[in-house]
Amino acid sequence: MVSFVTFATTGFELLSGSVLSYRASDFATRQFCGRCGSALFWRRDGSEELDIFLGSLDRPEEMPMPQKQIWTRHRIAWVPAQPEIPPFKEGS
Amino acid sequence: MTANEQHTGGCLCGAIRYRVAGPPLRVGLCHCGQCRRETGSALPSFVTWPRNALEITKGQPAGFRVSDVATRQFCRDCGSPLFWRADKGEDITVFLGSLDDAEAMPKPSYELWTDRRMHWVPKFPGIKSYRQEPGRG
Repeated sequence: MVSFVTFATTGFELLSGSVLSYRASDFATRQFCGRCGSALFWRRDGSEELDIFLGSLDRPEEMPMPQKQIWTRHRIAWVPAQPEIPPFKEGS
Repeated sequence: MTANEQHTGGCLCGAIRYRVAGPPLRVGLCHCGQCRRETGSALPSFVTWPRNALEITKGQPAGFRVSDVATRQFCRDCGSPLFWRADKGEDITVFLGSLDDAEAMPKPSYELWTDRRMHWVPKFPGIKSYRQEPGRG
């Protein structure tokens, strides 16, 4: 269950190291650690926000619960639907 | 599930591809901080096969050791987590999301490290729950 937290890029600072980047689509870059592969950031081209993969945070349990879910059409059948988290329209 | 069953998978960029032969031994979930940090996911999922069922058909994964019991393997070009390879034992654990037919895998039968479950992550009634790992609670 891939989860992420969105912040304004103005509040973001990389404290150590550098990241590697990979573009799987033509509108965003995925960034990860070159030493261990850990998923870190998803940056949409031109956006002033960045999505941080939840698991990379030191205290992910302090984040609020998700307010939306995307690509529910591809949800694996045994993953609970969680109707309390409203879906986005497909593909948005 | 047939004698000729096989599954394929790989990383996001396609540099690494693999094939596993036969049905998986089990499917599991892990709430631990290491799996969570590597995948970024709130609920990492994985599928275990006998190690000799796995064949890497393209590329060579990079390895990283975060504990003294296993190596985590991933794609150095796109970062995708692929395998958790214990030093001992004859199994290989494959991250579910890397499989081409992830949705065709059986339901998970167990979950590890429920002590660390995040409050909003759904529960899975009927599967075996370990507060940490088998043998540790």
